[in-house]
Amino acid sequence: MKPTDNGTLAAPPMWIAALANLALALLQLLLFFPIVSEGRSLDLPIWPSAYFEPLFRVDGLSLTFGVAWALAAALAATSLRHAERAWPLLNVLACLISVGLLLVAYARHPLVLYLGWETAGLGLWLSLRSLREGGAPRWLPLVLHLPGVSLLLLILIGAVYPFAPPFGGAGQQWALPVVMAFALVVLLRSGCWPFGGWLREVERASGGKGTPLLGLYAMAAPYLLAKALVAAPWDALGIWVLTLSGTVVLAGSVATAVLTRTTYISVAAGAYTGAALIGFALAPGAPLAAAGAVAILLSGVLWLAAWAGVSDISATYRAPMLLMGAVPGVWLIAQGALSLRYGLAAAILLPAMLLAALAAGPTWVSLKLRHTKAKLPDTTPPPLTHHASRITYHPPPIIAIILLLLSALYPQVAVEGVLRPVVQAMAGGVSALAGVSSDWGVGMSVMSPDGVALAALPATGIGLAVFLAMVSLYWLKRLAARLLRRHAGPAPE
Amino acid sequence: MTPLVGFSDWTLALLPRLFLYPGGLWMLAALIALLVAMSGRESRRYRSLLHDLTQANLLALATAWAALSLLPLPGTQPLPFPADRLSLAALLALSMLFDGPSLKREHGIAGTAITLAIIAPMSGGQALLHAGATFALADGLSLLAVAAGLAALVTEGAPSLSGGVRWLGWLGLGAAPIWHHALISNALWASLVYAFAIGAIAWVSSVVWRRTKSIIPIGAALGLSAVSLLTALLAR
Repeated sequence: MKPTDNGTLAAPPMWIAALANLALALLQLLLFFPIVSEGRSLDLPIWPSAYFEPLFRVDGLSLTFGVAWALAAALAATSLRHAERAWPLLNVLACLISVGLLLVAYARHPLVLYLGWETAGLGLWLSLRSLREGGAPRWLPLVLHLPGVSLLLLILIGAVYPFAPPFGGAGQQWALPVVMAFALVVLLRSGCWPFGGWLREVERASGGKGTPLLGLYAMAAPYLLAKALVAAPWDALGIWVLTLSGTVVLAGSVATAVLTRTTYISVAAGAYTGAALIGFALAPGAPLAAAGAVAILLSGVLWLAAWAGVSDISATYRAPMLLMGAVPGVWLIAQGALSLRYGLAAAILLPAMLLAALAAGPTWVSLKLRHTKAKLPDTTPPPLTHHASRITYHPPPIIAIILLLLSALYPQVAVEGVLRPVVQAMAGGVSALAGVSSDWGVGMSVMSPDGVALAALPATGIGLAVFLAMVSLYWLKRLAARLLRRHAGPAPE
Repeated sequence: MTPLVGFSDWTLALLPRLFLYPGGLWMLAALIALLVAMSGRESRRYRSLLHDLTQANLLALATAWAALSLLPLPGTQPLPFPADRLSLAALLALSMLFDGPSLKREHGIAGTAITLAIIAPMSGGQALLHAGATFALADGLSLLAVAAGLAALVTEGAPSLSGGVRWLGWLGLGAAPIWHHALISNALWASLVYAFAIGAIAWVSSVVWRRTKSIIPIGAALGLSAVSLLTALLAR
């Protein structure tokens, strides 16, 4: 392996995993997009006998997350740094995580979802072990697989039924203990506050090398709630409990970021998970919130894929990109929460995401890692800090950046092309996304049933305003520089 | 209405806002007034302003400029496609994040407190778009919280250009209920309100909080935001 200018080893070829995951994303689109685009769904496999339930379900929700996770895994594979040891094995393990996540995405039977999740967890653990000596603490397998035990118990006692809409109308509601168990599993697996310790410690132990895979794993956790909504809603008490949990998690995560030492992935995972939890909680009463939660999860996956491996000058834009990608989702959830009279959740979403973005910025993180430097082994590279003397250009994956920018500046595409079919797929628990209307030239608005505008996000129009201001400022800046040079007079010889 | 017509209408409504009022020329005048009030006339000659412009973070400045020009200040024509309070607050927050490494930690927390103060009163309603249509107790507390946050931002001296434009934008958003008052009906009145607010906040930050650290106004902003939020929730 050839040393680079700054003394670290060049990254080994992780392109095998990246290409395999890209191929998986493309394959899903080729096979399933024609079905989903017609508003249909498909249960697989089609057994010859009527005694067996189908194991998999292809619909808007599963296709969206299947493609997003495969794409994110491809990007994460390219971001894995300093993986000089056992790179062939690491390629296989990165693919194992993807396979596990795809099982989760397309699961119709709860047992398939459970197995997929455990497979992804196994892949993550082994990957972290391969990445670095001591990169995975001894307790990590326990932490990764223990939440699954409660899920398995629920499945075995028959409390979790297949993730498919009931035939001929609304199904029965999820029982409150099951909803609470779902929330607990999500919180444990996403590693957010107050269960954020494992994510933070693992990231530190891996010296920042495993960040992309950890982020992908953490951001997949809230998908369990989306899957549950495919089958049935939760009742009013379930909505209240889940919203309260999401609000507490969101506030706790950002408060931790301000008051204590943490890593940016913990903050981001906590903020994204808290916001998504609020959105999914309100989904049975407000389809807008369901759409917002899905938007938040997708932007979270893309953000982590884009920035998890970036530690240099490019990290400057990590914070604004977090907020930019999250704004459409926050806007949808906030309006959904207001329509259900959950004002507190609506009010704290934007400030909390702003604080999370600030805490995810390079200056904030470097401050904390300076404090914790003594805890890291000597061989640890400075992976998350922004030192002027060590600036190397490691560009973030451009695909993720383009998708995040597109979702921020032209959210109409995301709403009409992605979020509407996804909400439609959650037919058992969420009604159709009727309130949002897209003005393709300016932005999105939410209308009440009697035609009154409730919310308006002119994202494309705002983008135009910023562009015009930017062009004007560019020329003004040049003019100012010229005027200053003229006043300074000729340079002394 | 076709998308092209919608885009065209938006652009036509945007241009005077962006380059005349409340953005552009009016923004420049307000910015100079703010910088003079915060750091004195001597340090704010036009060369200093030009120098600041050459050093400015253009993306942060442009985002703040766009947010200011979209504010529903008196004397502006309504936009064909309105922007709700959350969108504008998010735009100003984004401008702060674009300032990146030059942003102090205290300023980040003050900006978050101001954002919370701006959003808090709307938690009492049922729509993002109708927030601030009438003046309630929560609006008054929110305005005080915004003022405290703005004072925190200038406690340690004059802001940068992008920080200054953002400051003006936050003031405009925080004072949204005032703009609905029948007396304040044109740009002149809005300018007077801005001049008074700039003078008052400059005086408070230079006289009252001169010897304290910015933590006190930040704490005041956070506390008042929380009270405003609570008041809005209880009043629904």
